Amino acid sequence: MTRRRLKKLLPCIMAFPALALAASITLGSVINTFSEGLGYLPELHMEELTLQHFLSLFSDAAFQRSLWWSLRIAAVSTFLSVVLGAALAWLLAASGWRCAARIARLPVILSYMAAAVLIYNTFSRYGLVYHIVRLAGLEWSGPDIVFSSSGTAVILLYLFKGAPYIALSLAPIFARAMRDLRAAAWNLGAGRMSTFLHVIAPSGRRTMLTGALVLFNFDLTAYEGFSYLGPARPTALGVLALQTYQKADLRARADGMAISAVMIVFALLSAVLFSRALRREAGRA
Amino acid sequence: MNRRSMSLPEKLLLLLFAAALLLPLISLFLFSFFGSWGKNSLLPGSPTLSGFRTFFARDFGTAIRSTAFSLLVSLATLIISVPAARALLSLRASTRHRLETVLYLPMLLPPVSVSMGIHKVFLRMGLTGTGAVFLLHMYFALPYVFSLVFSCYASWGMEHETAARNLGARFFPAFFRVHLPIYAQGYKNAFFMGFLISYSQYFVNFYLGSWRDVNFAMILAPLISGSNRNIASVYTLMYLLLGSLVLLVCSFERKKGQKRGGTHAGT
Repeated sequence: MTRRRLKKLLPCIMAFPALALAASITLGSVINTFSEGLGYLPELHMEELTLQHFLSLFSDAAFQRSLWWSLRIAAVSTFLSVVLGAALAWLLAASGWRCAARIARLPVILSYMAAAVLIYNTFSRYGLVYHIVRLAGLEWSGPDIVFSSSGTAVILLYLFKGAPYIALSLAPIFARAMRDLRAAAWNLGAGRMSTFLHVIAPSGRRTMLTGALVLFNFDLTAYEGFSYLGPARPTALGVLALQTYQKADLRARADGMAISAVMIVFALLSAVLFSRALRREAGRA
Repeated sequence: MNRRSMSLPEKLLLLLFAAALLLPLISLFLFSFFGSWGKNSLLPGSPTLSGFRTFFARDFGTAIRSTAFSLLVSLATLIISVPAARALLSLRASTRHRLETVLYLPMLLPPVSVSMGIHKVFLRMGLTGTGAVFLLHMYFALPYVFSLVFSCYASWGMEHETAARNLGARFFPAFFRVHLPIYAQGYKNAFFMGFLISYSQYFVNFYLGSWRDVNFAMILAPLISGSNRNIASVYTLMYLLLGSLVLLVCSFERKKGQKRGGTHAGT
């Protein structure tokens, strides 16, 4: 009896450390973020729960600018990463060129911080691109894209990391689809482009959606890229949350945590939306 | 399916992609070995190793400590991921999906929110500095390590090991002679992924760590906005080299395992 019970309990015991780590930190951080966002900071004698800090965010111009800016950068960089990543995956699968796959793997190994150094050295004023333009005998007249309010350097950073990530996830799927379906599509009269768009690309739709979820979530709430390559104004959500939380006026901590809570809501909301899309996709398959 | 079957525009596009990915890496090498490249000079100035001298004199210890820390984080994450993956495989599909969702949550939540949210909880528990940073690194590495280990079990199953045990093999011989040769490559991939996640953490160390927890990504941060491209490039190059060294060790071991005639696991 005891042995049978132990056998039943064994999976729970085996999974416990990993589940405990994931669940306790997730719950601890989410509960604390929301309770502080709701104004519960007993160490500052703030013990009354209120929605004030959340409501004031949506009338705060700085927060609104920051939210739209972060959403725009995340949407643009995710969209471009998926489109360019899919194109690169197609080329990697079609060429079978191992060297190209190795080159594509390099940005994935780099951290965002190291990748930010590369983007800065390449695209900032007097960086490599500037010198190549000068070497070609042309005059550099464009604005400095690093630290600009357009967020171009941040988008480039996320593209540099995101597109190869999507490409490496899709390449094996595309290679299999090309082996099994490409010849049939060509025999039926499809051109190269329509074979890619209607036969090969749909086989990787699920991976594209999952990849897009991971990238969008990260790009929306990241700190490193925005903080070191983005402009001082507007700031991204992650940067704004930390700046607000660390203000000299300690009561602003509740506002900082409210911004952090909004980031969690966005992350979970996008996860739900994407998982619905994935389920619909699975149903279609 | 090879380069010859590609059309000319496809070949050109592939070259364009390779150039776009290589351009930042070329800048890394150029600025690492050439001290200055004035705004009016067409070519970089004289070669120098001063950036490397600065790195080895000032931050080599931090770099090694940071790499060792990430290796430990990855190992600890792998150790808790393996039994979790084995346990989840033996559960009903609905329960498994629910528990999998819990394990994937760290991948979805923003590191900024988690670090800010958990900091006070950790402080109340008396968990500060290295311990707190270690746990959070494991937390963020867990979904990636777990998913790789889990997919490895899902693909190859556990039948070989069960068969060995049923045929009378004791736990350790079955583990070393049957289990490891099959799953070693999956474990190594998971280990490397965990290492990468921990190695590239910035915000966790920046926000929760003490002066002892300054890692490689943190020493890179002030160099981005600084004007010395040479030092910034040298540090990034060393960052890339140390990461690649770990990758190389993993791939080297794989080849050795394959030569020994391991199993299909090496494929």
